[in-house]
Amino acid sequence: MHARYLWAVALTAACALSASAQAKDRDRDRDRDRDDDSDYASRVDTILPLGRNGAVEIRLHTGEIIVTGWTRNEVRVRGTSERGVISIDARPSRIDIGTRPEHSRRGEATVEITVPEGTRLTVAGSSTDVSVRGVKGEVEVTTMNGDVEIDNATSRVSFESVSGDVTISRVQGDLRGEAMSGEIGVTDVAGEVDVESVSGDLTLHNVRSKSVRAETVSGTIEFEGRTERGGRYDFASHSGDVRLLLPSALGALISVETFSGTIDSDFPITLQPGQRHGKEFEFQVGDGGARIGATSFSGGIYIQRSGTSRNPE
Amino acid sequence: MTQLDSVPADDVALAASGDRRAFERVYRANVNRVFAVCVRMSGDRMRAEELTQDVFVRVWEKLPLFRGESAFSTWVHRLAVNVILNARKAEGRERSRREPDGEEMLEARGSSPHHGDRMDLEKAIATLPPGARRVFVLHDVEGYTHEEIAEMLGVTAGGSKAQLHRARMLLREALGR
Amino acid sequence: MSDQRLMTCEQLDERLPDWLENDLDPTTRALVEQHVAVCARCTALVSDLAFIRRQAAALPELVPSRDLWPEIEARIQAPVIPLETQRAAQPGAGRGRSRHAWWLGAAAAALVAVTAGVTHYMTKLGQPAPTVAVAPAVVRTLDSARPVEVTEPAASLASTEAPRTTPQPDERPVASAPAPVNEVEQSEYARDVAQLRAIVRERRTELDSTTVAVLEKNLELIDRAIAESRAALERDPASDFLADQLARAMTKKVAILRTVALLPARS
Repeated sequence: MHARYLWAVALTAACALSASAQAKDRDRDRDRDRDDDSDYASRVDTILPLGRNGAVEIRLHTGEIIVTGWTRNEVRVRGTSERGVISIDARPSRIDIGTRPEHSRRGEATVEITVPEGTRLTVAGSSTDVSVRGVKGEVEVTTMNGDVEIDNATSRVSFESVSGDVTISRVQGDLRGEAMSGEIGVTDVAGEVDVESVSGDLTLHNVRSKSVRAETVSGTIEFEGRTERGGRYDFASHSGDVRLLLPSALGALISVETFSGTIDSDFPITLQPGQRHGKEFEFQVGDGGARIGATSFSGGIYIQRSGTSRNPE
Repeated sequence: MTQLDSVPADDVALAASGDRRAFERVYRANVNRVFAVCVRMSGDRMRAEELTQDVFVRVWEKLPLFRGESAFSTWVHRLAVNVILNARKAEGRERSRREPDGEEMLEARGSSPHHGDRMDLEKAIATLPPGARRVFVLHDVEGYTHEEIAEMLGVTAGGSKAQLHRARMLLREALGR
Repeated sequence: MSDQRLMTCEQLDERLPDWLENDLDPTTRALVEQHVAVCARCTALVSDLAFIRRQAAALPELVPSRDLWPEIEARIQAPVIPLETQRAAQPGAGRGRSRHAWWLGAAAAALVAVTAGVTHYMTKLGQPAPTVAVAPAVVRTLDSARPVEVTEPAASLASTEAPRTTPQPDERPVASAPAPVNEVEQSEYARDVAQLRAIVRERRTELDSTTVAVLEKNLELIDRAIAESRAALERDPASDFLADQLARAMTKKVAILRTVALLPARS
């Protein structure tokens, strides 16, 4: 029957096509590319050459700065500004990007840039969120109210913030920074650490440095990490608690002091001849190879074995 | 599909690190397929040539971010579709200021002249109204699912299905079958 | 299968999209297929659509009428012309401008002097000179691990630290106890604080209210820390720890005031 024959052909064809479509679906990418094209007063989309170990500086008053590292010797700048103009000043070894001051006071700007790995990066903003990932060069970030996120920096990192929170992870180089009321969270750092705040909490996790200094007026301090023989670790808060999570196999000379707070230690406190007035204790754990100092005027000092919490050594 | 996956992985990596000669080879290996999707999606060969250039500039820019989670050809293809769709949105805004309803106008122009004539599928696709054409090209030519098309075009999967059927029926008519 | 359950062509037309997409339940699908099997019109329709679909999937790649590469190559040669508005293309945009000027405002010049003063003060106290970074500068506080060499003088220094609302730039600290750190150095600290306070007071209206509130709160915290440390030190003048606490808080205060003076104006 003719009609039946045609139907069979059609059906077979449809099935075959459906199968091939499914094969394509499986292959479908997850590398999604999304291009938003909202309306903005000013838009920049450009690529600029930048020599090895070049410098990039970005200044935005309000908005968002996103910086990513890549393997090319070029800087990709994509930016939008609701008001005012994003200006770019490019030289062979240095690129400056920013909103011009007379236009920058109203409206947000967003700048997304990709820089060669190893670029020296300076980012400054007022109410500006900043994210820096994989730049692997020296990074300096200053912002007033925005949050700061820095990840995967192999070189030196420094930051300054007033009320924004600062989150930093995977730093091989030294880390220095200050916040006022914002919290500072640091994870996975190998270089020297020097952080300060007024009222923001300081949280340092998985630190493997030979030198750490954390100081705050009313914030709390939490440190979790390894100490090294000959290393120096100093923690000071005026009215906040200081909590240290240290490996069981610790070798350190620990000195703790508080004026009106409490002291609690998982490690046995054995008094040394150096002990003087008030609540001051100096005691040795293991070989005493590292020097740890923790002080708080009115906050408590808690020294715990990291095995007793869920934090890894 | 045939030629695309023959792009040497080395060239992709070299291009990603900024080698323009390697990128030219990547371009040569992919241009015909990208151009084809641009032609069919836009229905305009001249416009498709511009779009193809836009696509490869975008590929160049995005290349360092290609993580190899999909085949390179698939990645390029998806990027091409995005560039085309974004260009359409931008043009759409431009056009809507001048003409009240671009879609209907194009539809009227598209369906009448060849009515009843036999023509090849390529030409017939170009006569489809833009909405139906995009869905048809993405689904039947390029093999995307309705869910993916819905996401790309900002419509529902049901809407995509309806457009597809409409496109096929219009094509059948245009092809005089 | 009885014939009365067969679909009409209209019903088939309705179901066709879903059938082609394999989206029908088995019963409905069977009905569609039964209808197609016996209806010439619908067989032709299905066949045509399948043909179109097959053709579509097999469409060849297309070749542009010209080589598009030279233009692409030109576009990926850096630098690409930015797609800015006309205003962005104004000559001189972003050029010839001090990178820090807009950030610092009028206070910049005064701060240079203040920074120098603080550095000097810290050095004289026997502490390592604070690190002064490029703007906004950071005054490093004392190394807490090092013993503070001021005990008595710290108390007298602290007496200049009573919270004040109208400081005089040339205000002198009350010199009381015998002082290993001399009067000049004490006055340097007082002068720095007073100068910074003056700058901050002037700038208060330039800063947004949220920031001002944060600053006020944090300065208050520091003043409280200074007062608490000073009171404790008065009771226990020999305590290095308390002297250290006091010096730390005082240094922090200068650092905060400097930060405020350096903040960009309100948006």
